[in-house]
Amino acid sequence: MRRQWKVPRLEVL
Amino acid sequence: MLTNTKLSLETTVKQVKGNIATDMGGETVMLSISNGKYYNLGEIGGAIWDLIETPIVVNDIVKALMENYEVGKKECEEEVLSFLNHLYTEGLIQFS
Repeated sequence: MRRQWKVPRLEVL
Repeated sequence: MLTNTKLSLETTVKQVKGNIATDMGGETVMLSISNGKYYNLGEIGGAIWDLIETPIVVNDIVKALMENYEVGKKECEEEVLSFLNHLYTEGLIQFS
């Protein structure tokens, strides 16, 4: 079963 | 910070060595030794980061993600390219 997609984002912490 | 270069679905990408990544509650958090910054790659970004541990063509990244996540081809391609461009501008990946 495929999982929910979320937009990949790069956050600087 | 690097400027964007031409990244396409046929480009081969891989991690730049010298980053420390770890899983924190399902998201990948990373420290860049070279620039001293901490990053949160999130869940999907972490999956992409794992895929580019060794050189891989962007198209193959998209295929792998489409097998595991509910996402259309065009959407996946656009968002993966955008994410990889961001990684590149931060000096975290290299193209070949």
